[in-house]
Amino acid sequence: MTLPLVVSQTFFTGMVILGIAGTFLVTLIILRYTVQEMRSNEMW
Amino acid sequence: MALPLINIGIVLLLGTVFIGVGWYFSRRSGGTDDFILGGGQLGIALGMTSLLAFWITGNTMLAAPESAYTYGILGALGYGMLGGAGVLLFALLSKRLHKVIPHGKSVGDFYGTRYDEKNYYVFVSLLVIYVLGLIVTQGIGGGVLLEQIFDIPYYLAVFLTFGIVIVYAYLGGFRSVTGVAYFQVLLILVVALVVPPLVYFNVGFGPVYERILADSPAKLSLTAPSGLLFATAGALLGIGEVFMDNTFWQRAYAIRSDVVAKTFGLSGIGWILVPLAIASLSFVALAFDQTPEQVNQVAPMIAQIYGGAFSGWLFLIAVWSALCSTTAASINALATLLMNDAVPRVKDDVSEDELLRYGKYFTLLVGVLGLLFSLPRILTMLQMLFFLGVINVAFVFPIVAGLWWEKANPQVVFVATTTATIVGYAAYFTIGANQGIILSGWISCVITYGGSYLWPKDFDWGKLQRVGQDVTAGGDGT
Repeated sequence: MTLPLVVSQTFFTGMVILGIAGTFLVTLIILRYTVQEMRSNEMW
Repeated sequence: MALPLINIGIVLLLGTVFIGVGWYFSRRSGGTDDFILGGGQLGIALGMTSLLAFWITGNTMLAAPESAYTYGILGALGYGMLGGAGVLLFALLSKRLHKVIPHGKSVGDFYGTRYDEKNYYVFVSLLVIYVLGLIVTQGIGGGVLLEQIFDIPYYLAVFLTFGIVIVYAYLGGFRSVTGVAYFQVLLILVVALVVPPLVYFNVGFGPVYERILADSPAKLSLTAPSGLLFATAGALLGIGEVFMDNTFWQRAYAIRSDVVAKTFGLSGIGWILVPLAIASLSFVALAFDQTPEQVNQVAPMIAQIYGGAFSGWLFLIAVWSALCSTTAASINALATLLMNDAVPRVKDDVSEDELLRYGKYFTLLVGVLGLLFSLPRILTMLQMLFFLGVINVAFVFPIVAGLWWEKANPQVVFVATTTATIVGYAAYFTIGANQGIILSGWISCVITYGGSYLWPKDFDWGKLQRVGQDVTAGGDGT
């Protein structure tokens, strides 16, 4: 049986890479605000 | 059977570090405000990690791969949206909270004041059931993980996990939990950045995709009915969980009002994308026909087989830390809800010191109850999330209506939430878990909005403004 809308390999690979890249981005954002807020004493 | 002393030693060492960090942060913890909200001045960095600690860690590391393994690509995408949609929407709600109930501390403050006593008791009773259920999933996850991979007997593993968490949650409440969570989240993010690329570097994207396509193409379909049902119910469940759970209300007040919406927004993006990275490990299991003993252990298993021994260990330590962070956040959220709401309702003239003592007792009580309920292994994490989802979803619409619409009628809301929960569970047990959640949401929505439209009741917003201005006022706020 052929299922409609089976994703392509590009979609599949892109999804996995998006997850990893997104994780990287979130880590960077946290570190960036950590440094910024520590400098301005606004972390806590 | 001889005890694996080295493995127990590793867990104890890591636990000692958590307790040490928790103690360090607890030194600045003073009164009840610190125990509940950490002083209410969190910036974006700690705000994000405290939000991520609840979801990206404990649930994501085990339940996201479980959903991808069960439902394929829609499971991975649906799980990402499951919590992410809720947190992004809560960004709007958090702004509104600071405006309409500026001195609140918990979801009970809002619900008890906006609606009436009977609504409040139904809400808090179901919330206690929900949070205990959530804590139990983390306990079971931690126990099974330590048993299967570290060879530590299940009961001992559960005692170790809860023992460590209870100690640092007890020491400084929200301050300790948030301080420890910062390091736990960074550890987990590093693992999420290292392990999936390492595994895919070893097996390749092409072979994984082609093998799934050949053996189980339904897992790659965007229109597979079971996956679509999961994604729809999952999004509803996630919104319900975030809106109802005191963990998020607590953080909405703990984070500075000028950055609260931004912090929730950024965390929501993380809630969507990080699970995708972790869930992708399940596709390797599907492709190479690797069947885990328990479905929620699929990601640790793949990390160990295809990422090498170091990757496997790293992953496991991170998962265990993750389970600890979610358990600690949930224990603190429930303990402080009871401390802030329940105590002033049943006892007059509670002093600040007395209230703080109650907070610590509740931390012990909730932690020990979580421990005891975790000893029998009832459900997997995903199954438990969906079981409790029927309750979560029933309260989404009353919360939203109560915050934005002065005509929302408490009598109608009571009928809506109780009917939605009862009918939702009837459907859950007779038709299916996803159907139960969707039905609960629909019933709650139709009755709350339809009933309040037909029988509107005016609400005085000033009642919410006055909440929390006196520490002994509790959730009553009148």
